[in-house]
Amino acid sequence: MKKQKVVLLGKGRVGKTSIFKRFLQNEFHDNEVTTIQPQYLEKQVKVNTEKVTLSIWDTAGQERFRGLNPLFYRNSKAAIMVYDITDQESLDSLEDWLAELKNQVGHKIVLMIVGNKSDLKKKRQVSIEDAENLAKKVGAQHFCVSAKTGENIDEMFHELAKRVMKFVKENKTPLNTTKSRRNFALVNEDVETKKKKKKNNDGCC
Amino acid sequence: MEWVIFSRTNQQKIKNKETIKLRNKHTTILQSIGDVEYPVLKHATVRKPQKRILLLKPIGLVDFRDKPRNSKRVNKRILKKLHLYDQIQKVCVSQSVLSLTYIDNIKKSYESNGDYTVMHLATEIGERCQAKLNPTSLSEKKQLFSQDFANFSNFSLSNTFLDLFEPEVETKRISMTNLINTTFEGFGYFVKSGSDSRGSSEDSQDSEYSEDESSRGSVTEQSTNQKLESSSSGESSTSDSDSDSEKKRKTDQAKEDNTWSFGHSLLKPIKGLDYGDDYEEEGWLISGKKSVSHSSEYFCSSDDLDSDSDELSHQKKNKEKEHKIKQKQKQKQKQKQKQEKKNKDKEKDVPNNKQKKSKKSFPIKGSFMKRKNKQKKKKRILLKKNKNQNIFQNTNNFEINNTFVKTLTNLPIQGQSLSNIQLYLKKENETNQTPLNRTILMLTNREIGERLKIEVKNAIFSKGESLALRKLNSFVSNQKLDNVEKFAKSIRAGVDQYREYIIRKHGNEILEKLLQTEGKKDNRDSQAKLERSLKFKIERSINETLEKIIIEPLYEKIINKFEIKYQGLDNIINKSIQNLSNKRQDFFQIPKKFQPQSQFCHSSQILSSLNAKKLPSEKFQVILKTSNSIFQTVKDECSKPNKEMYLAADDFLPILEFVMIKSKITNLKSQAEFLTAFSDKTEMQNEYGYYFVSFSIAIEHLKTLK
Repeated sequence: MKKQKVVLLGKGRVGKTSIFKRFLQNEFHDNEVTTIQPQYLEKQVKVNTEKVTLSIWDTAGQERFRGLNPLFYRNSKAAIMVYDITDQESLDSLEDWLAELKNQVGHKIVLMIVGNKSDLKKKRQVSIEDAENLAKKVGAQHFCVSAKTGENIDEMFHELAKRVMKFVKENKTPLNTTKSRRNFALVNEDVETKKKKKKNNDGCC
Repeated sequence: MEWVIFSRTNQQKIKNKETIKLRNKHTTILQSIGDVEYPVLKHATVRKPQKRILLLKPIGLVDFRDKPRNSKRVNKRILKKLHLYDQIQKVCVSQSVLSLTYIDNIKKSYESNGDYTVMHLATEIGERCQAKLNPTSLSEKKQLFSQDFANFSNFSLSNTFLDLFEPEVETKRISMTNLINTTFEGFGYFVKSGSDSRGSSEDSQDSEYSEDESSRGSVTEQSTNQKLESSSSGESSTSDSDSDSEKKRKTDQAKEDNTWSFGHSLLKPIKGLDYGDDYEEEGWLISGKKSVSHSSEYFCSSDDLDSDSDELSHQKKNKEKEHKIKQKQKQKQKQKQKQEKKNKDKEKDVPNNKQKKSKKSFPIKGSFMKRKNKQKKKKRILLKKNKNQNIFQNTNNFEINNTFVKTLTNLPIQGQSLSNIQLYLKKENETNQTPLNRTILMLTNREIGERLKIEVKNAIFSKGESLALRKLNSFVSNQKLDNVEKFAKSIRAGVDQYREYIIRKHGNEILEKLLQTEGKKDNRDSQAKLERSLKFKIERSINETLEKIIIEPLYEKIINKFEIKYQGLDNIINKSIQNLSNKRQDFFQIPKKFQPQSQFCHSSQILSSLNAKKLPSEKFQVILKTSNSIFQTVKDECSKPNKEMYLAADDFLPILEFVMIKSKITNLKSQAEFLTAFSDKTEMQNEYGYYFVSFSIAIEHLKTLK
């Protein structure tokens, strides 16, 4: 199976990178971690004897890079939306991200909403109900994880891999997103259609 | 006037050979050939006086020759105004020869095959005929056509067709570029059909021809290439003949025939066919000679070692020059002889001279090149053998000093400080990898790369497709600015198809060869791993060589177009880079813990080589290397003991901006657009893709910085 692109989204300082880091550490030996860059990660996950390769992209969360992030989303099969359970704003801002994502990729994407820092239960500001409501609204799955202790991280990625597998099997045709695609994507589409036509033309010579 | 028209894929034989006499002196020969592979072969059976030849290919590319009374002028005219529509138009409208039935037949055959370009061409001709016969208002016609073309969104010829309805307007240039567009849209297809026909043509090849002509299937392509190529060289040759003709007006007639025969090299390359007696004596043999020189040039390029091929080509050029000089001398001598003789004898002499020349020059040159090629092949085989043995022999004899130096020079990209190297060596000792082992590994890796490149080049060049690709060069300059990206994409698609084809056909072979040299491993897992990594390497290097062959020669022209198109944005970014060149790291909001003392100078050095690289894959590698070196410097200079450092995307982007500004590269936007156009879709899902995306984000963000 091909590589499936997964993007990590969320406000700055929410702990995207640390989730990333934790996911790395659970699988790799400590020595190897130092040689791998934490922004981009490729990993095989086993789901019922089948293997999926997830290529996970870390994205910038700061405001100043906000407008440029759509470049990251292209052709992604799944998105992990991260918020901080001690910060109400981070959950609210997720809705903006969702809107942006839908604008770019459309509805055909696997969504995960992940509340980070579940070890800081005393400082919790975001109620689980709010988050789960949001998840229901957009058809996502909600998880509470802790990058610090490693709680739920593996389960989350396993679930993600499962859903991505299912999603890919259901939509075997390449994603045909409609709205605001830029030059790059448009040209890609052209090439695809052309290829199809060429395949039909095989009988010619 | 006489016309010969061929349609390549018209499978129904309408009439094998049909002559229709129209009015005075107007004779038309229609020939439709069911034989797909060798349209040119049959073409030669048409007897003598072909004045114009049209070749209709499924690609939509058209090839025609014109033999007029004044060859000098017309040669230039043809080369400059290769213009299909005008010509066909003249045929059908002015002479009303191609009756609508014929056009309908073409149309149907292409419609069933789904080749839209030619189909439209045919419909256009038909419409045009009808328009001539039953003239209606222009606006009505335009409406009709625009509706028609709206159905084919991919079809970019609409301009031409609309323009054609105003014959007085000079539409030649526009339609030419559009023609080229269509051929490009068929490019991928072109590759495919070429590869298919090759297989069959190879089998039917005789050993005699195999050295003279790569394959018969590609003959037409070859010939068209020759002509398109010769748009520059041909002009020079004609200009040569100009000066000659000024000097020797008495041999004018012979000269004319010479240039004509050069043009006719198109028709030559098949032996053993009935060309008609006249042609064999006059034009054909000379054209044969020419084409041999072409094929020899083509063989030189197949020799993979660059320096050698250069030498060879130089030799060949020299040979050609000498040959020309000799010819001139001979002609001068003959001139003198002629001057001595009477006027009546002149006419008889001219053809005789030519016969002598051609008979002499043809076998000598051909055999020489054959011998050369054989020697080359032997050498290559020997070289290969030696290489295989040498890798292991030499490494055993390595002195320790040498290996040490080599490891130092071959170090992967690191921070600059000496401590890094020491660290690196320490690491190596820890992992039980002695420098010697490492050098052996590196050597074999490099060997693999080199060998792969040779294999790929052989695979490509032995098929004669490279000639077809040279055609691209002349096309690029005619591209409109709006189409640059589309055009680049189509090249990319072509390269991809080539790659897939080669991997399908030769991939296993190459893999086996490499596995033999690598040796087998005991574990199944490690064996599988090795195979996977080798496959990856094979793909990469095949891609690289293909890019080198196809894209590198075109690079200057393509990047020029991009630079013109994105001039405004480039200027903005260049200015902001200039303005920000004095800013410190704080300005970009790089966190203090990620501010090394070296100020990422090594990374910016690497990035500054971006514009000098010509291949997209090389450019992508430069970007990957810069981001790797950023990580490395952060790791080396900023990390504290007992604390892990992770560079998140939020921190990475400002550093990348800083590096960009330090490297002072120009025209970033056009470079980025170039890369997006040439990016591989599967690669864009990988690490390359990630860093390229962050690269382009950093560029976009640079615009807003002040």
